[in-house]
Amino acid sequence: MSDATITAATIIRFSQELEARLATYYQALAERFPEHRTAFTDFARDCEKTGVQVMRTYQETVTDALETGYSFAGLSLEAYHIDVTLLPDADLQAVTDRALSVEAQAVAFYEDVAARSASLLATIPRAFKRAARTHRQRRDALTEW
Amino acid sequence: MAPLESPIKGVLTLKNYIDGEWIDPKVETRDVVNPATMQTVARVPVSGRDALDAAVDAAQAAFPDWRRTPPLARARCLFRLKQLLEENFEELSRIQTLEHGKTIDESRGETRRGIEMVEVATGIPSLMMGQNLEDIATGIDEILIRQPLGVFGIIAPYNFPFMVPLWFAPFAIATGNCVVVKPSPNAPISQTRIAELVEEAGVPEGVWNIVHGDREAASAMLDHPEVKGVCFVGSTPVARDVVYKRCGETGKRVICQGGAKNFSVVMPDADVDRTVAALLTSFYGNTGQRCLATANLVVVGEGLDSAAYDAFYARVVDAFVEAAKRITIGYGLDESIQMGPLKDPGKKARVLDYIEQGLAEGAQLRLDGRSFQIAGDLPRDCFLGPTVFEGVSPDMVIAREEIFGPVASVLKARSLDEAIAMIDANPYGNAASIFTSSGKWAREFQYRVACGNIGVNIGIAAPMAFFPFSGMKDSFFGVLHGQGQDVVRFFTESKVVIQRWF
Repeated sequence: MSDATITAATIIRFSQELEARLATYYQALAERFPEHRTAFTDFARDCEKTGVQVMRTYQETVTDALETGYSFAGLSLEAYHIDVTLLPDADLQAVTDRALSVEAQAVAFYEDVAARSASLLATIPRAFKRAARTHRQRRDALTEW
Repeated sequence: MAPLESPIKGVLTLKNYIDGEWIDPKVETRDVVNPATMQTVARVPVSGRDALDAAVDAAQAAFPDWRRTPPLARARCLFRLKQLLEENFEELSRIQTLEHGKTIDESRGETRRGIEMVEVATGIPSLMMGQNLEDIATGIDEILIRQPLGVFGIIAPYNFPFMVPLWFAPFAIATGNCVVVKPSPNAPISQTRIAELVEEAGVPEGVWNIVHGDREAASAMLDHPEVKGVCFVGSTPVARDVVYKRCGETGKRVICQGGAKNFSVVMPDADVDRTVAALLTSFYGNTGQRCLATANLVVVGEGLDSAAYDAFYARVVDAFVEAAKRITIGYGLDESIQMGPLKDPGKKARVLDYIEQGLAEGAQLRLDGRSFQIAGDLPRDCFLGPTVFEGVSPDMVIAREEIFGPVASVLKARSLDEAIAMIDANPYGNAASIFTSSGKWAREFQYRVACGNIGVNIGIAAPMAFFPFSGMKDSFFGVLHGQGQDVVRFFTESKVVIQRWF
């Protein structure tokens, strides 16, 4: 995706898809690894909650004053592509490694857009920073497994 | 990127909403066309005087009960409406893109601005409070009471079809008045959807009415003796020569917002990168069809020698042109699109005429919007690319008249004084912006420039709902403005009681 097409709507869509795909991934893990069902289900729920919080912030702050078409110029979303493919024979270590990688990507994405939106309404970078923190905490929790 | 799903399937048949009923006026209809696809999305009735009179009668009949409804109860209707608008946020936004062509980001921004009006109007128990003073003379007290007047009319433009009526209607009904809204026949769908939500919110019959139509319905509103005031947003000739004049003749209150020719002034100490981002939205947001859009960019050389000024001018204009070249044009329901089409082929033809006039007057086309790429396979009828003229002088037609399209004129000024003189020589006075790091220059600008809405490092000086949407000179006709405390005063009469008890 070229930097010319980074509208605010594109950023939010990317965030929504990231959270939805990650939630689906954790839900699948909850079913495959019953001994970790609670943790994975909580992770999935957190992803959904983050998606709602980001969308709510966008809808509550998007106005014509935000330069929505141009606020994120220069950002390359390709750098934040995530792969949540769940291989049939993947063991707990493999799926955890993949989750760690995805969580790291998510942290990087949200930190990037938070920095780029620092001059916008305070609620916008705050929402992105909160999302980054959530992913970072989950990454830390997964690291301790 | 694939377009978002359209909320409209097939072709809608719109009806009037009068006295709580959806009424087909059985008159000629007009097609409402999605300018990106040139497909008809709705048919709107072109109602006449009868429908307008019926709506005013209904509003007048509803007024006595509505004004006796406690302000807190009226506010609760608005709280419910606000909740419904939030629940239908995305649908309402997509409708605006379909009926107007603007990008989905812009539509969502418009939806948010509209909801903010409803939010502020819910504060009416506080906003509408009067004043009192004891003992203005011995044992005598004086009280100011704000009372509603009756029926108000709202005539909406096509460029912000959802938001503009909400500058007025929530405040009108919050203060105890009743309204008749005449949406633009070119973009009438979102107002129809709002009326459905008004009905769902439990606003009593007759308090909020919608009459679709064009000039005849508007004339009937201006003529009707029971209409106490009219809020109009549109072109300056209609605002000044028709609405303002007729309201004066018929003794109505009036808020008349007309056209604009807004300037953005870039000083040598401006943060160029951030200025350019703000300018792009200001010039090309809503495809230039915005009364707060910048049309004239003035690059100022205050304190610079000729060589330094030339370098600064080139830095600003080059960055602006390069960024404008990269704007992606296409269907607004594609979330990656940065600029949609103009509203209809006639409006595009008008903009093309101005481009021809600019060339004929000797301005140089630095970026020619007549050749452009569209993302996706779409008809080109209404699309136009960003255009940038250089070598523009203030006396040229393209620098003086409202083009209402994606055309930027770049002018030079050696000093802030010269830039301010250019702005003040223009007949319009809607908005002006300065980009600078100097508080002194910013203060000088806001103090001296005769425009209603001033931006300091802001490309679109759009007042929030709790401030008046100002305007001066040929951009505004009236006294009190829309939004904020101004509009609360507009919709109420100040009654003074002086009392003494023997």
